Amino acid sequence: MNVIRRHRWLQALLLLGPAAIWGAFFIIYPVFEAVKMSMSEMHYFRLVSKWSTESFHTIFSNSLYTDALMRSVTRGLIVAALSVAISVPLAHFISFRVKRHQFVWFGAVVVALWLGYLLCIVGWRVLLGRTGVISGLLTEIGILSHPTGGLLFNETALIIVQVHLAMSFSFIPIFVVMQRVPHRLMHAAADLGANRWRQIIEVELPLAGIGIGIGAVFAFILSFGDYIAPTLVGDPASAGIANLAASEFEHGLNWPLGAAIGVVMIVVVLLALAMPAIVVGLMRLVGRLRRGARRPRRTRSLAPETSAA
Amino acid sequence: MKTEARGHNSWIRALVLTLLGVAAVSALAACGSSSSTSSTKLAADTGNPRKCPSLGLFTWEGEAPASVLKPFEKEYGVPVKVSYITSGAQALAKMAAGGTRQYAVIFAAPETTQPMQEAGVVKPIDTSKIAEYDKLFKFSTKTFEYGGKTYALSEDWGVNPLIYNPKVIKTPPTSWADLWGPEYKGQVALWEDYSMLWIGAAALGYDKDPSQLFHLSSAQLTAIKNKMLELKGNVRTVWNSGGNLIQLFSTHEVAAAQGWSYVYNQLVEKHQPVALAKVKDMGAQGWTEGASISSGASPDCEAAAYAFLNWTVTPKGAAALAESSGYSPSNPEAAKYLSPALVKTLGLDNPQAFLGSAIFKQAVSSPSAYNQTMQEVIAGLK
Repeated sequence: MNVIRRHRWLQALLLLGPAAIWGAFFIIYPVFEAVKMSMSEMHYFRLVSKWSTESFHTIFSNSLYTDALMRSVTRGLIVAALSVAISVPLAHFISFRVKRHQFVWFGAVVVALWLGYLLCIVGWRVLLGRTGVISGLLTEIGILSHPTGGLLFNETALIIVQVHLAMSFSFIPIFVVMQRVPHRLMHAAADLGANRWRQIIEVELPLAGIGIGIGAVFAFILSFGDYIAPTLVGDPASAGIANLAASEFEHGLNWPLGAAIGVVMIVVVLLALAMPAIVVGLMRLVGRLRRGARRPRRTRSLAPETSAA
Repeated sequence: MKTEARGHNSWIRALVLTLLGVAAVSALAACGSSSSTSSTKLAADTGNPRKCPSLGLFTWEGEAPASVLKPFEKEYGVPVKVSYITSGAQALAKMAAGGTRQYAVIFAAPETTQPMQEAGVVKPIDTSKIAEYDKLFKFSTKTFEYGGKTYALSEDWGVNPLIYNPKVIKTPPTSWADLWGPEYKGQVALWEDYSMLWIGAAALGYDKDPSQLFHLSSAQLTAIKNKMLELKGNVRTVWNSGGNLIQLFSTHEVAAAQGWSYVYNQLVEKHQPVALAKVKDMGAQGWTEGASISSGASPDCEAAAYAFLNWTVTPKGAAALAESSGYSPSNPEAAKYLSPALVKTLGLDNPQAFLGSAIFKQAVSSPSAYNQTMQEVIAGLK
């Protein structure tokens, strides 16, 4: 044990080693293989390493792939925005208004995580289907004259389902960060005359900003990479970039193109993961510039200088 | 200090001994496996099916019922582990990615078996080891012959039908072209497979020359795409698994689809209002399914695979498969064990009439081009 205590590099090795090995084998190596595959060619169902960029050229020159990419990014942003818009007030309510049994409220929000991804989607099909619960209810109470299929297999249904699935993931970091916002700061703001809204906007949200950013990123990543929900509840044209990647492996036998789509998706996800850090960096820069602008300028005195006696 | 030093030394000693032990065990395991590999090579032709620990079977939903698996498991004492395929290309991808060690028997259609043979993941079938081989329908067995060798044993065949709900579609369809009609608005489900292109090909008359169907030019694919895009408004969704299509019909989300006979049989069992349409322009909706033997199967499991294949094409085994899957068996003598109604339904009383105008699917010249066309159709159906 003294050996470990004496050498910091050994401590780092023992603490980070298992995770680094896991990351190397199950993250870095597969990504490397995906990049290598994306730059290969298929010759009669066999991969040939050629370090070719043809697959990437196909993606960015064919509107089928660029449209699907933009569709996935746009949908991801919408799902992220809606997930955060629902999660923030919910997290605020549980953190600041619920005095007892916060854990029960927390569990009720994240219970969707326990149900399973596919089960949630199938459940929404039962709710939104032509002979589903909502259509039946609306027909019973007379809002609809007959059951409608218009609630399912469209973009709205897909976004509803993805927000439901992503909300648990976006809620957790927002809630955790809000829990750490000291209540005394809110009381201090109130003492200084801030009303409830100003307390939330100028004290609570900036402090919870990092959690909100992380929650938004989680929701974006989940929606961006989803290829099951678009098939099961979206309209046929809802297919995103992930569907095309799967299709190249399942139907097209064009593994380099499928791998290239995967690499593009990894780059987009990495950019998304870097967004909170980029935003925080920009905010700090703006803050520094604003503070620099407010600081009084040093001016030369007009009074004659007096020499020391 | 002395105690600490002694404690430190014993810790180092324990660590070194542990590492040496792990290295020794690894070396022994490697020696063991190489010796078992060499003994395996010696026993290449003398595999014992009863020594296969389990028979990995990679097949389609409905093709592995208990009525087929249990008699084999009981006779040979070899459990069958089943995994389901979602598409032929998925099967090829999985086999090429190491599935040859996991599965000994793979069910695939000719358009998948041929690439599997090219990829080296399946081995030729020694038809002399299949007792019933000469009794099987020639039109189905020859679809698996490449370069003078047979790469799969034909198990069943059939036609992907047009399934429809007669309570919604009042006029029975007689052609794939009927799907473009106003009665089908928001009622159609397309199969997320480039098989959907055969519908457009049939509507354009390309199936009149079967040989060109699997070597379509980019101009022809574009024409098929444009024809399929005219289905906008009629197509409600796409399906990619039998279970999904069953649910779509059961919940009345769709009323017409290019489907599978297995799906139709399941819907009938659930007392759902469905019917099969007899379309005059079937096109490349004919299919055969064959069982291949994996190139990575051990000699014992290869012997077990042959035993399983032999069982599945006996009249009794083929009849059990047909009763479950609803697919026509490759052995006509299976009719002895089927009800007269089922014999008629499966077309065993007159196979050529049953096939009608259907063309058996084959491997296409450019799966990527066909797939891209399919994706462009799906993307344009909004």
